[in-house]
Amino acid sequence: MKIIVAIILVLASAHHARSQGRSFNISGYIKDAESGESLLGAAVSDTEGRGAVTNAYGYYTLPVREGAVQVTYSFLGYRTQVFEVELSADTVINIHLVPDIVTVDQITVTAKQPLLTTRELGNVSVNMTQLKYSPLFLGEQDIFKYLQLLPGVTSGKEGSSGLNIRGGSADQTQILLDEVPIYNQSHAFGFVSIFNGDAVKSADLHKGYTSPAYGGRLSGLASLRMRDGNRYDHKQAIQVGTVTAAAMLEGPIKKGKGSYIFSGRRFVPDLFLKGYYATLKDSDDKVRPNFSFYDVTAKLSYDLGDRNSLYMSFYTGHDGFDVYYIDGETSKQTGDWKKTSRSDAGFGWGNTIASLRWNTSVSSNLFINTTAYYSLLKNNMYSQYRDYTEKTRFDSKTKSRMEELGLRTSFDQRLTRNYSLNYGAEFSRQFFRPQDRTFKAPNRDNRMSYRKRNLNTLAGYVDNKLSFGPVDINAGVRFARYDNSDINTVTVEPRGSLAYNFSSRGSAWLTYVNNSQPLFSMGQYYFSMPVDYWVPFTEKEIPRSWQTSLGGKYKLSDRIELTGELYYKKLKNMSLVYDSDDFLLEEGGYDVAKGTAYGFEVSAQYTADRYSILASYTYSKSRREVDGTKFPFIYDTPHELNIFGMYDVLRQPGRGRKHTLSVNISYKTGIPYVLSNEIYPTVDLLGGGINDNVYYPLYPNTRLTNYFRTDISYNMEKKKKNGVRNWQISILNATNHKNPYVVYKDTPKYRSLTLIPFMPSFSYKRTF
Amino acid sequence: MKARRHIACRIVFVMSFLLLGGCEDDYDITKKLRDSYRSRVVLNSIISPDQPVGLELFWSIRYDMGNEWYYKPEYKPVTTFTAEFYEDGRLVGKYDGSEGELDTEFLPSEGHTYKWVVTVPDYGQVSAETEIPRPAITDIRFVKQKNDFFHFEISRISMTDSRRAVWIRGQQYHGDEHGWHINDYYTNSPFPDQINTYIDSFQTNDSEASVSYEEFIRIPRINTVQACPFAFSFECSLYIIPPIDIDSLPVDENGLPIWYDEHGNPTWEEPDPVDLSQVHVRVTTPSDDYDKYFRALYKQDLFNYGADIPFFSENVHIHSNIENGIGIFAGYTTSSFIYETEN
Repeated sequence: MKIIVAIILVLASAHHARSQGRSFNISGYIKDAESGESLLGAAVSDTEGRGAVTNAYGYYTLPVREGAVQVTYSFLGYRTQVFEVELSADTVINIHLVPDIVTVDQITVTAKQPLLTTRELGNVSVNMTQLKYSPLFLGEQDIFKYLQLLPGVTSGKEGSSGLNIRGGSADQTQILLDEVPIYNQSHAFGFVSIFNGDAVKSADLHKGYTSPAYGGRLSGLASLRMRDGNRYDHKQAIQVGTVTAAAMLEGPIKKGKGSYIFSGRRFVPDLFLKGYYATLKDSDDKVRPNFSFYDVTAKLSYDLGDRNSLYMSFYTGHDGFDVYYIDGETSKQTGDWKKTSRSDAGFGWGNTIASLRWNTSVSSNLFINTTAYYSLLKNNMYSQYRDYTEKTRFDSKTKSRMEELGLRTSFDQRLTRNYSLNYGAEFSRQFFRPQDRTFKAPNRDNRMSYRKRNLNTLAGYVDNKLSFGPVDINAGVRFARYDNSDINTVTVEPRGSLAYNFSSRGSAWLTYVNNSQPLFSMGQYYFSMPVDYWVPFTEKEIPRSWQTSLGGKYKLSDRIELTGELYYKKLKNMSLVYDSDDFLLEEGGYDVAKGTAYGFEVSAQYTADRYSILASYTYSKSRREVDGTKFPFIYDTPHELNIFGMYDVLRQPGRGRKHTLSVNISYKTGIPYVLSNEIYPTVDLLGGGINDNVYYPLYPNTRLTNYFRTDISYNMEKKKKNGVRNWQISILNATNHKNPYVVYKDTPKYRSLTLIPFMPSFSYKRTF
Repeated sequence: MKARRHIACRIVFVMSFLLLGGCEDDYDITKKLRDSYRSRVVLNSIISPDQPVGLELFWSIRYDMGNEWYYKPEYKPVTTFTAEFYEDGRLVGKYDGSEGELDTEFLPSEGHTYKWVVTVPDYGQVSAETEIPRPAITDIRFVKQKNDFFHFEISRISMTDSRRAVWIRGQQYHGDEHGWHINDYYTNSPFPDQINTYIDSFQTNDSEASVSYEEFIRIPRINTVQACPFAFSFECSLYIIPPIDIDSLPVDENGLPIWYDEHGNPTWEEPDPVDLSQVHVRVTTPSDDYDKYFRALYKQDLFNYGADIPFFSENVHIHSNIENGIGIFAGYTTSSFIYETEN
């Protein structure tokens, strides 16, 4: 490791020495001219073709030689702007790019944009503008459902919001919202993700190389950023879908200087259900179940001069399932019905996050980001019994809670025209409180908690970026110290990449990334539930992984882009919990596993005037190994093919109308599964009347039938007097293919449950 | 109406199905899996110091054998076999068995390990090893009777051997020999294993708990000290009506019993009810094999056979310690508390 660092420093200093001619930095922010939102990944280049891109905060630094220079600013979907600058000192240029589209408010009526931007090193960025035309899931435009269609990513079980990346499990993918970790991204048992599409500005998925600035997960990173809000105009939007209603407000706090954005979303059917319950009498003998969820997102941003910006982000959301039953009796004397007791039960889960971020450009070549954050995940189950006759009350509650407090700071320094250095540090403290049970009875209160644990993480990183002509090199390392109260351990995670831009049309890359993971999620049940919780590592040897990949992309023409990537990944020291009770009691209940995953991903993207198509194919193989026994990862899908197309059926710019048809076709190998072909007599000492045992092996012994789904969506936009009206109709699984969600024994045969049959949904949106 | 609802999984599906209307279909497992079936010898033997050692030996069968409408698989017994029984590695008995059953006169004792070595012609040797732990020391007392509910308290559970858990179960006797297993247990203690927990508030007045445990209460070893004093209750039948003696009924010309005379009156006299005579509380100290097997058995029943909600079906592996076969060989000890009712 020391050798690698030394080589990097020597290379950097040598190059730095060579390029000591007088040069100055042009730096600043690149923003959208209409909304004032910062643009992430926008490009800036000088006359010699040397360039830079804006970082995650829209900031760039471009070193250029003294004298006259032509600077070009460009970004996908925006008009390129070119400036002549006479440089004699460091210069700040904040640019507002104008969208390169004819819009009628928010209706895009010109050429299609690519659906995805494949960045080097196997990472992709979703085009949020185009996302709104993708099929709805329960009436929701769900970014996670879209990410699951990308090559190398699988949802696992249908309907889930998990991201299983390149043979890793969902808890091995870090999910960040404005740089704050999210520990449960599911609404409605995973059918809807917690991210409200209206409030999301960008979504980047890292399947391969991940900057050393990020760590703590073995397999990938999904980084979502919330919109800052419009800095020039106040805007409103309302949306009603199949199951939710949502609203959004945004606008300037001070024109051009600061902005706000608030959005909220709520599950709607429960309101009707509650109305129905209100019509019932207590004496109606009915169990009354109810489910609801909501989320609220807010963000404030403000520029303190040219060099400093403050951002405050907030999200909270909650899901709850409740059921109650009222019991009573009819008086023999009066015939009146009298309520005697009420039983309540239910469970819920939710996240709350908050962050305060400070961006400052200390000098023309040093940008600092500092973020303080808080993240909370809480789950609860409860039951309550109230006896109105004896005036007694019984309560049982089981709560799980995980909190995280963190502080991270990063320095983004452009040292020369060819060399930039990123470095930083972070500290976080996590509090794990799994299953705190409280049982209260009139004369007895009982409480039991599984052991509370904390996890302290202190990490630092350095990432060198060098550019030699067509060659770009990233070489970095992340150091982390994890302390779970019992064990502390230090990890060193080297990462590097080598990219070769063989022309303006294509590039190839080779990457290596090394990761560690100090915590993992586990469930109370055999299946994944929203009431799952996280626990810190248990073994001295904490889970580790490394991955190497070789990939490239090539533009055959302005309309066709091809990408391909090979990868190989190794994982070790993973804790696979098979009995959560034993595990929490520190009585075992888990295996230590290692794993291997490899495969290749290819995709082709065609973007024409009125339509665009994205087709991808993935071959992969993912295995786990416990005590020498090898078995497939539960979501191993060797073959996966996705085709996503959009077509503008109707375009009438003059009348402000646009209709778009989109189709998504997905085919993949069935996931590994445990099924039996054998039964045998039992020993029934429990008295439950069980006659037969079904032999299910410990590990998957077959696969479910192959998966196929076709989703169709039709979107109708129309310019109205003061905004835009948008109707969208979607059909999931239009061919009604029977994709098994679970297979269960219904002696003497098997039955399967299809979670998503032919499923229509709609959405109505109106902006003002 | 008994308002019984599982704490979590059994209520979740309501919402899921309201929203999604998932559908069910027959599912054909792959030919490869079907063809991989091979009948194995099933050895089942549960031993304790309370009874002489025995075993059952059957052949496993393919999952889809049996009638769809009245499913009752017929397991073929292993017709002939020889068996050796070892205590702490020492041969204590050699037996010939037939028709799948073997009863011995050997009485095992606590604190020892035992092993079966069974030879089945044309199949080979099947073996298994287990132990009988020393019983946990418990202080149990009867607290009160509230209508049909009998309340007890365990003031101490002291485990001499380091076992995984203790199991508490009850048995009710109405003068007959075998008694009836008690199905529902109630406690407000948060220390038992939650695997078999139900919310059952309908009985709260008498059970004095809003949480019910189906079939047993299992307290993990690590919680046994904290759990005490451990108060719990279960429901018994204060009396039972014995079945009618059919042989005492008059018969018609075909020899069939006549239940009602020509006026529609019963020809039988209702038997006198038999009152509850004894209630037993049994605290079982299981071997690890016993604990793993029966806990997994319950889980399989809950998540598979008992999963009336397919959404939550899960195929659960059941522990087996049989070499070259399947089934279970496990030991346990029991300490009992007997309450004589006042009837």
